[in-house]
Amino acid sequence: MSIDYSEKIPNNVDLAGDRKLQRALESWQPNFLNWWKTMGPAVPTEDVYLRTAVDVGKEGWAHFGHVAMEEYRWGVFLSEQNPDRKIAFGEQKGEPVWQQVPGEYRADLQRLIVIQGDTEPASVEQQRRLGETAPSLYDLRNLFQVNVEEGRHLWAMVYLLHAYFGRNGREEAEALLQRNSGDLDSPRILGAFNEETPDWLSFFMFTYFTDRDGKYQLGTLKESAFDPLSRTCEFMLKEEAHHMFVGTTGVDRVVGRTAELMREHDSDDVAPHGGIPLDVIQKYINFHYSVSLDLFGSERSTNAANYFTAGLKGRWQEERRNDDHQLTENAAQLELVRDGVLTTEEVSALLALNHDLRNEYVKDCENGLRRWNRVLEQAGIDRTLALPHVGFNREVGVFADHCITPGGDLVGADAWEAKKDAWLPTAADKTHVQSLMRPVYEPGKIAGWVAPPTAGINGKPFEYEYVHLS
Amino acid sequence: MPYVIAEACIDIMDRSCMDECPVDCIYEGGRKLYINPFECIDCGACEPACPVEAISQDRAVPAGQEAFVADNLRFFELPLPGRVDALDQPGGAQALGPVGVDTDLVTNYARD
Repeated sequence: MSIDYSEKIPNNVDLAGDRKLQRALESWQPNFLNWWKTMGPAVPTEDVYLRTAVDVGKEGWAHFGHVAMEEYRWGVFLSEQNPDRKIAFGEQKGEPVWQQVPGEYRADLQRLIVIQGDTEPASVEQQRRLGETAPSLYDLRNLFQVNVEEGRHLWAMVYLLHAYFGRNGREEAEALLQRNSGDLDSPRILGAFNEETPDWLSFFMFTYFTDRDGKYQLGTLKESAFDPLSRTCEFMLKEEAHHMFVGTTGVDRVVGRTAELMREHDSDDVAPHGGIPLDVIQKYINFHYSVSLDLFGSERSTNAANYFTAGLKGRWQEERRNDDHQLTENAAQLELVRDGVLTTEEVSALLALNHDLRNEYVKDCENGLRRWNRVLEQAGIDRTLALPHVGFNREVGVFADHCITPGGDLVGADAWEAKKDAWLPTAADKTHVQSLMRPVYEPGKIAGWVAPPTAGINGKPFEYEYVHLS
Repeated sequence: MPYVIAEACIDIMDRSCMDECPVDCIYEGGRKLYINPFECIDCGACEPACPVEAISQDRAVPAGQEAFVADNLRFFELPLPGRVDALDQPGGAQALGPVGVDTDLVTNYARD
């Protein structure tokens, strides 16, 4: 399914055949471009080596080349349609999927799309100034790739709002550009997207932990009975994979460099030698993992149950699961605090769908920790990093009103506060990390706090001039 | 272990998954493809690309095919026939090229 780049807005949804929609998107486009100029990457460039989709099929979704940012065109791309696709779960399981929004689900579907859409420009805003301290041209290029794809994901959600939700949808599309990350008056909807991403360690943690939440959220929306949403999310997942690559290998490279400095100086304290101590890396893991867990919503949720029953949002890998896909008789074990004790309680599986999704995410994160501990082991460092308990530092869900240590002990508020600086990044930790953030724009060179990548992009070497700065 | 390729890939080797992998960590044996568990970043891009649904997360391998989880690891962790050293982390399938041999499990696997 090829993409029409002759159009003002590249697309594979036959925009030319729908003049009303075309006009609506063309009127939104200048506002988007203005938002990109004022809230997008701050570092000025001549061009950047980017991957651009020219086709959503097997051939051509990953076309590489240097692109001038002012010529970059974001578009609307949906995965190929399966005309035989059936609803895989909920009350309407087995019926044909919907090509239009059923009236009774209009508000809920719009809400799901707005929440997903709101995260996309938010992360671009959070990462706006990172280019000014990029540790290498390779990393700067990866930042731009992540940012342009988040911008395209915004386009994907805006297309759905314009095409299927009428005037309300258009108003919501405008509002996506009016809320801003961290804005006191008009913040982004979800907490993690109002946090700062002030340094590259935060960026790598964000693209590991928070973009990995994106993998799971998009994976559940891909199951939706509303077929245009499903196809949109399926294509977004291809792009999201790159963001996870940036995060996973980024943390690999920080841990690797820290291990190298620890051996070189025979000391855990690599800060005086221009490195990021393992204790600080652990605190960043604790923070980014816990705020990302909040993105899954409350572990016990009637909204999630209703979305599932209605066919709006499925489970991770819904069609590969061996149950009745309706869950009316199923139960799940939910971990929570009862009478001052961490315990488990049996609840309806329908009520525990956010918990189910969160558990899948946690298993991914455990793989990440195993990977980084292997980096340490191979470097001969007898230390390990760990995920904190799922109840640690939570502001959403069943643990929100409880103080739980990274090790999983329930403690009082005073005890938690007294130890907080040992668990979460302190002002001094952030100041140290910030002090290392100096731009390295010479091809083939890299900052001292992070190891170079093991391979470049698209077969190019690390030394390749991925970005030409203005 | 992150993603794993199981029985359905044997003697099929469609290779669509290799095009999708952002870290080029899917390696070509003689009868089957193998995901390097040390290099895989758990992004999941390969999973929907497979036309025969051979790819799954290690925790969701089809019943009866659990042996392929350890076998994917063996492909990289132990020396393969004709090789002195284990592949370990070659750093990319494109640069390495087809390995051309399989683990014992796959070499001797009789499909129904």
